[in-house]
Amino acid sequence: MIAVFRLFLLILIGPGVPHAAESLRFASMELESREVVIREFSPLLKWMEKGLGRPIHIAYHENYDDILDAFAKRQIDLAYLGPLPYVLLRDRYPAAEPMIRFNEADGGAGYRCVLAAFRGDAIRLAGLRNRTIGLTQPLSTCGPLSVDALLRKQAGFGLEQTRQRLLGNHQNVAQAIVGGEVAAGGLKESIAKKYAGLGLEVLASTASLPGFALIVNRATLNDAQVASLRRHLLAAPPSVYRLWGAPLRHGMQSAADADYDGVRALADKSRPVGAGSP
Amino acid sequence: MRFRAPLLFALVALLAAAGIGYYFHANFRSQARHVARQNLVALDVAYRASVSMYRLDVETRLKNQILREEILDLLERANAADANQLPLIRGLLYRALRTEYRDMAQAGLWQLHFHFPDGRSLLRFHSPGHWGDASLFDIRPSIRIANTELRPANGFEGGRVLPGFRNVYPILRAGGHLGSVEVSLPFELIHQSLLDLLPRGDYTLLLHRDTVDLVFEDQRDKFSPAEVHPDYFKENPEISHVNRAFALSETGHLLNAVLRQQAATQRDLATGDSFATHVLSGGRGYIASFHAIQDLQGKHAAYVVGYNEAPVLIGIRDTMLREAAIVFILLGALALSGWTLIRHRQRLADEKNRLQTITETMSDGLYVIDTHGATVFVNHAACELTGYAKEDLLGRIAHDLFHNHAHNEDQPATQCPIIRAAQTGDDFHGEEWFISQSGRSFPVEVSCRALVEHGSIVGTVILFRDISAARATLERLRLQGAALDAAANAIVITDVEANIEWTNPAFSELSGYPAHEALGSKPKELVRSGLQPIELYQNMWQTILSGKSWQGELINRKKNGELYDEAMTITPVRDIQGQIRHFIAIKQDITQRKREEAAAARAQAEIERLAARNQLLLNSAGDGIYGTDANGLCTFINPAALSLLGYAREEVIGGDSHALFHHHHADGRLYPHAECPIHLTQSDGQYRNVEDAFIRKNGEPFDVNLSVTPIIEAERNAGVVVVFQDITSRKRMQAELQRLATTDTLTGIANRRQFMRQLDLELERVRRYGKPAALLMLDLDHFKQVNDQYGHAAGDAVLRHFVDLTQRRLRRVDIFGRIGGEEFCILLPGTDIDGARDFAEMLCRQVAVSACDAARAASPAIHYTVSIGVASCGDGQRDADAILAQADHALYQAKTDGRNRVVANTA
Repeated sequence: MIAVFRLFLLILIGPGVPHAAESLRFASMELESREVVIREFSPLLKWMEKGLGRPIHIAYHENYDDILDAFAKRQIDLAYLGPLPYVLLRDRYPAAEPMIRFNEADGGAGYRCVLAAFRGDAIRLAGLRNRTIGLTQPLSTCGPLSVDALLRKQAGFGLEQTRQRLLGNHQNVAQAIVGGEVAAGGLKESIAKKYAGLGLEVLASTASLPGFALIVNRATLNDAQVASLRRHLLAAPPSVYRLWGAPLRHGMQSAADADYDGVRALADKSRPVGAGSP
Repeated sequence: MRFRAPLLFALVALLAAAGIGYYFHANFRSQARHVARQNLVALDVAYRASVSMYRLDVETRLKNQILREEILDLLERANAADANQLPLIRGLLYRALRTEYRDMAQAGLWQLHFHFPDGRSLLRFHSPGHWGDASLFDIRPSIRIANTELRPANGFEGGRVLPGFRNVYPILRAGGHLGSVEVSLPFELIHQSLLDLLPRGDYTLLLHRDTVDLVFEDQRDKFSPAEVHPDYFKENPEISHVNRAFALSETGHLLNAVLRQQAATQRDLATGDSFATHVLSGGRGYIASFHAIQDLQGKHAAYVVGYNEAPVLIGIRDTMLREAAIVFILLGALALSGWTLIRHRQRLADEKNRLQTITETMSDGLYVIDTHGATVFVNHAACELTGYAKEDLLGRIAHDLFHNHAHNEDQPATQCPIIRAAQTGDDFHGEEWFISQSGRSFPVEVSCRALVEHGSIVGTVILFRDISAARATLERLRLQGAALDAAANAIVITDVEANIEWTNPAFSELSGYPAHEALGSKPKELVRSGLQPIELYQNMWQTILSGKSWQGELINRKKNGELYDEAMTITPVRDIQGQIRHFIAIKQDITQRKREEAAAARAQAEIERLAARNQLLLNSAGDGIYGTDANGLCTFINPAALSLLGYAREEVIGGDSHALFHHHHADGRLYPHAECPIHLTQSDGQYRNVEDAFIRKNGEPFDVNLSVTPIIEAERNAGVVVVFQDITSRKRMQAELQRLATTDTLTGIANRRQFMRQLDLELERVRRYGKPAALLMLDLDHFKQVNDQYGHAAGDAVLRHFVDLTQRRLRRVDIFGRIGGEEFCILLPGTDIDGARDFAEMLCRQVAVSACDAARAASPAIHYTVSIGVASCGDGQRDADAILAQADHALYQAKTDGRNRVVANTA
């Protein structure tokens, strides 16, 4: 009888759903450093733990490839992803679903990727042919995807006519540009603004892209859990989310897969450079 | 008094033990403090050496690598730059020192910071995105000192990104002041240095709350509250864990938890002074050294804490414990000897006291005589029994005082068995008579035994007991036995195994078994009929064996086989120890009573069956039925009645039915109780069947047909039964039939028959009161043409239009009827012929200017006219036909005159 009941539960909940006592696994790409990930996401995770009644721990991954692989292997229940990684993840793993999008600092629901250079280098877009471009990661939205699109549209050539250097995160890209290690770099507009005081200037920027989002793994979280989590997050009052990390403290809105159609179109037109590119 | 010595002894022993324990404890603490001080001094030296070593390193790097001419040029430009130029110069500065900064960061010197002369931040290499904040002079004294006093500032200090060990130097060039540069040491460098200098230790930095408060809001998560004290913070272990290899060991966490509980440590931490303390935990000794760090203003800012294992503490402790153990053993042996001596003396005193207590408290008299018969000891009971005081007996011959031989044929004293026993040393047991001082003789049971000391008889101990009460008890028992024999109820006494020990004659009479046959048998062997369930006997035994009485009724069988009912009570009888020894069963023959009860039960069952059937009938009846008592209070009501009335049963039962749902008539008039047919039947006992109305709970009246039947009991009216049916539908149907019979279906006004009836009534009223009245006869002109031209539906619409138009102009007292196809009559009470003519002409005009468009929405409206004849009813003598004829004549005249007009017959 008990075995039948267990079987029923298995069918009802699904084999991949973590047990109520188990902790959820959260992953985020390191925007600046691992320290920043902890500092900025801890309050959000605590809020989600309160809503779910379950602990959540951070699963660290060095790059987007690792996050996407772990996600598809059901080793991650929740991920904080930019639009391109989500679109790529969704293409290969239909159980990935956007739950919540975080607003940008200006209150908007999207953000821009920019191509920036050091003011003292007096670099123009057309002069970037055969120069070294600093990029975050192959699958970063502000990485090869947006830089290639910006170059094609505004300089008339693509990323393949430049040299690229992968630097890991946006802060590293900004510092490499100011430090003279790369001629220009692709990064989030908000990070570029932080380095404006060091002479970093924007050469070109994309249209607004959907903001970073919490992506849920529907293979490990059931409908009720996702609905409950989404409700709990959207119910967070400003007095609570204003204390969260910088990218998370400007409010949220419910997200859907259709929000990313524009990014899909961008990805289709562009030819991203792989991790092995020079 | 007797407990004072042991208590005193125990108290002294405890005090001695406590004193010795305190001595050894204090001794251990003193030595532990010494060890702790040594550790604290070592930590202080190592810390100072570490800070100095890194300061030298910083100064060398600044001098040789950082403050180059090229950099100074940039700083000069930065000081002169406007807001637009400054970012470029800041970027160039970053670019110029990027390689050197990378080297410094790899060496752990990752906080490199340039400031303007006014204290504003120029560039943080460790956090380039944080720029543009206001002057740091207020929160960073080191920067203020370097830029205002133009001298280096070295020491610990808080900050906006991280507190640290600051090394801030003014930058001067050719007498010009370009600002300052700062290289801060993170604690991890000091930590590493401490490990190098003092290996096997564990070190951490505790920051005071005031220091952490200076940090940027978004950097606060780098810190978390320290376990050891609420005023201190430590690096957030989650962040430390991912950034660096070091983290406080398990031992450190363990010691922090212990130190949090130490009041002295908590006090010391609050003072901000350096101190060290020891901890013994898990069989190991540790020293926790707290080296206080002041900031550049001399204010307490942090502690560098060292956790060192100190095996020497265990050695000291073990030595102390060994010495203490030896002292305690010696002290214990001494205490045991003293305690044994005290216990021995105490026991002797106890035995003497116990013997004294026994003899003084025993109920038997006891006295001791010597070989001469003189009393040498007498107890309290002996004095009580003989009535003599103790001093009256001691030293005197007891035999002479209270031994009475009057009941023993006045034996001489020489033959007294007690005296003989005293002389011979033989024992004596027997009954004698004593006489009290007051002269009362009483029988006693006496036991004498010789008192032998060192092999010689020195006297006799005499124990005696007054047996007069026992003799009286024996007599009383004999009487009670006779009473039991004579009791009417059968009584059986058994042992605990239920073997009969005694029965009285009544039992023999009840059961047919004489006592000699019953004795030794069990009751079940004699009278059990087998008609009771075994559970009854199990319950009975369970009850009486638990010490409680059991009562019940049984069907038993007599010796001759005849069955009989008996009520039986069994009571357990306990001996003096509380053990159950006997059971007493008292039995009463209830055969006759049971027969009577059975007959009564059958009668009751029949009554209940009939009542249930009646209730069923009542519940299933479609009519409402309820009953009242003689006071009109409802005693029962069936579901149909409750459904019709809208009440719940509990709202009606016990209530006054008239007040509940019969208080008003259907038309709203109050219904006096005295007129109520139900009340009348309650009064006169006559059956009634009437149509009436009840009021529902929601206030809605409904028509009912009532049957009220009196309940006659003992030739008195005990109430009524009311059966009622809801006849609302029937009444409504009757009203509808009535309406159909009197109303013109097309126009809704009175038909000819009704109009004539009303006309007769009104004429009767006119005749009675002599008031004027007038009759109008109206006929629509050329109505046939309307029908022919537009159809009968249009004709009907014209008729309804005319009636509607006319009705809106009539008074409430006027009577309006359709007496033919397009012929109408109006009776105007109280109106004379002139008034009637005026009304008729007004109506005639309004009809002529109106038009009926009700039937032909898409076509032009139908215009029509009416001719009206008017007749007076004023003399009140004429009958309806005459007046109608007169009005008809006038109408005819109007038609003849050309229609659409009024002609009044004034004849």
